[in-house]
Amino acid sequence: MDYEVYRKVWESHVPIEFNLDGASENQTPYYSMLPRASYLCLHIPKVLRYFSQTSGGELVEIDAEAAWLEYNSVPLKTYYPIGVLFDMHKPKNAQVWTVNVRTSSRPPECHNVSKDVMERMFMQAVKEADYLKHKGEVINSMKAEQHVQLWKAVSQYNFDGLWAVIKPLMECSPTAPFFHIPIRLYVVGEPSFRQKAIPPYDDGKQLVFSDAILRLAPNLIGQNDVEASHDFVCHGIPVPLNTPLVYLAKNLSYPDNFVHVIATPKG
Amino acid sequence: MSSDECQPTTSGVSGSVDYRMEILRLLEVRDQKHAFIEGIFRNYSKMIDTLSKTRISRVSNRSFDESGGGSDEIRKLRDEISEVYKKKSKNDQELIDANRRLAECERNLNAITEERDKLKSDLDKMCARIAQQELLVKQTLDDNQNMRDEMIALKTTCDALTRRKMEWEEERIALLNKIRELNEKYAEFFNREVDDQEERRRMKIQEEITKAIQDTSRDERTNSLLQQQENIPIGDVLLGDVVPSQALAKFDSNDGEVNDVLWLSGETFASAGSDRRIRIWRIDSQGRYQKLCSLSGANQAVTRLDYDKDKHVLLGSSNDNMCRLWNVDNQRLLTTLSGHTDKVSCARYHQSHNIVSGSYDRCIKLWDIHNQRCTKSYFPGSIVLDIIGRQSLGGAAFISAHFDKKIRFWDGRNSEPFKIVEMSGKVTSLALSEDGLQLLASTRDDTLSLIDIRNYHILHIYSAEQYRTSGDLARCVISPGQDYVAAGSADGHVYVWNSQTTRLEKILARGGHESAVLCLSWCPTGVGLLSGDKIRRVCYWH
Repeated sequence: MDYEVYRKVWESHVPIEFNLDGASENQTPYYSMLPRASYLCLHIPKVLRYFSQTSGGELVEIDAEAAWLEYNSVPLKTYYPIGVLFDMHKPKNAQVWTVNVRTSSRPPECHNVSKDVMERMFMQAVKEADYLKHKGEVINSMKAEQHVQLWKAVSQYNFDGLWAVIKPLMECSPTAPFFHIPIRLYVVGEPSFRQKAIPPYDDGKQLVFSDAILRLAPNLIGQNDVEASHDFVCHGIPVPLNTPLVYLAKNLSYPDNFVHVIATPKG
Repeated sequence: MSSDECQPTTSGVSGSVDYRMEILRLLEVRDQKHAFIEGIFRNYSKMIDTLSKTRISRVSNRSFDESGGGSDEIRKLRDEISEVYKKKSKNDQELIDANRRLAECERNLNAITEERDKLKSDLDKMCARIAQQELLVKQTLDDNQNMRDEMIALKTTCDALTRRKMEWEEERIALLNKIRELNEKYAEFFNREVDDQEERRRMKIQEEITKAIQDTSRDERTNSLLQQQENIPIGDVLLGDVVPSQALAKFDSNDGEVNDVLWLSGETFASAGSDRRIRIWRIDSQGRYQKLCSLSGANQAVTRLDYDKDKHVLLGSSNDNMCRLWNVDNQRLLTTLSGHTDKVSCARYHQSHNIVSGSYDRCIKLWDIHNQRCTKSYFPGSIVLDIIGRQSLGGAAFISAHFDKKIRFWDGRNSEPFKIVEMSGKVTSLALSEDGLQLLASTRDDTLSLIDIRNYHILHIYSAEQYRTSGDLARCVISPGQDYVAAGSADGHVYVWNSQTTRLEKILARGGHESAVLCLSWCPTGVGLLSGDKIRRVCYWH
């Protein structure tokens, strides 16, 4: 693993402005830098606490279960990593991403994601990624405490704790190579991500990032020097197209072991 | 690590921009974009935190004010109460602390007291022990002093005794010298007396001669006697052993028992008896005998005789615990050897200057003739009845016969005998053959045994129906030619056996002794046997 890159990827934070929808004029928004590798549902309680203390000089109890987030009238899938949501929804010209906190009239498709649910979903993602990479051998050989530690490191934003557990999941060797690359492509405007079984090598040739995009979204990337219509962003940066998939999987994956790539239209 | 293994591949594929560096650069750019906002956001969150804190404190303060109402008194009282409570709790705490300290102190005190008691008892014990030790030391010192005193006393006693011993030693030596002087003087006086006697006898003979000269009537008879005498061969020459057949002469020799007879030459012999004298006789083949002289000096019966033919010195052992030496030629007493503590049963010449003697005191002594001293003592542990000491036995060897039925062979150098032969009875006498190879032993079980002293085997045993050993000192004899052995019996007869066939050759009885025959002596010429009995008599057998 490339420690320098991984450390940078882990440490990056994004600025988010929370507005309480339907509040009085006095209510000031809440600003916060949140880590890309974290999840929104872990931070919502703090935001709600702030709002409950400052809402017009009166203590207002906000039901955490009732609260939900939306941006631009679109309910947010809070079980995506913050970095993914940020890259997906932030307006191109804005520095800060503004999120509305709603406390009523939750749309039926937007489920409340509590901390426990988040943990299970996270572990599910990790297992899935490992099945793709190692056919689940590594995750199955890990102890239950190590699973708990992995989630704990993510939820408490503890790099050293994560580094200790995640290393074996990220590793591959010539004798035990990755079987497939866990990569998900999010296209703006589509309800869900695209995911395919993409091997790291094809006919002994090492596949690069553009190969993966070709397979996932052949319509979005221009072939034979044709200019691509979209940028393919991961962790807020357009990933160089010649990056090998193995390197991508090792260093640019989120703690849930997936490489989340967002395709945004150029311009 | 993965970058290391992936990088060369990618660069090899396209040679385009290093994707890793590109990624790092892009990440850097992205972070820089957020850097400005990040600072603002951080400050904001800090402010929010402070704000919420102040708000919380303000809310709590406000609630207090409201409940306090308006009354300052109540507040004051409340303050006082709280003050009192505070004090009380403080006092309580102090009390508890003090109690704890007190308990601790008590515990310490107890521990210390206990320790002190223990130490005290230890001290007492130690004191007692010290006192004990001191007592012991004192005792030891006293003992030491006593012992030292005793030692000094003993030392002085020892010194005194040593001094006395030395004095006595000197005295003893002086007395010994005196004794010797006196002995010499005694011998001198005695010899003078003998001389006087001789003189008187000579005078008497002179008188008789003069008388006889005057009386010449019996001349012819004398001449005829002298002629007869010339026909019989006499001399010291061994002519072969002849079994004696008749008693040629019979006379009273000594008063009481005749303990020993001994041929001095072919025609002289000595007899010793319980009358304390040794008489020397001349006897011819016809049986004519003549007393030559008598040797006196012994204070008790003389038991055994031995003769030194070269020096003409006669050795006699006596029951007065002494051995004596006489010069036969002038009848002088030469030496007295004293040292035995009981009757001396036998004494013999051993080597040229030595004498061995055996005694009833169960020891054998070896004497030096020249300085008249005992040179060595042997302790066989049994009464010595006879002894043989001859140069022919080889070196310093000698043989002793004992009351405990044993014959002991000594080599003179060791204090233990080198050979012991056990006999069937008390061994009364020993006789050595002329060649020194055969030993005749008379035992109390009425037999005689001939022993080969080369291998200590008994060659022959001689016995007869009527033969009874006459006494503890009964003396047997071997003829000079070793053809016959003879012994005297308790019935007064003399028995003669052939030494080789053990046949009884002769019993000499007729005209002989009337009492037990004690001693025999075979004439060196082989012809003629002397025997002495219990009552004065000596017989000459021919």
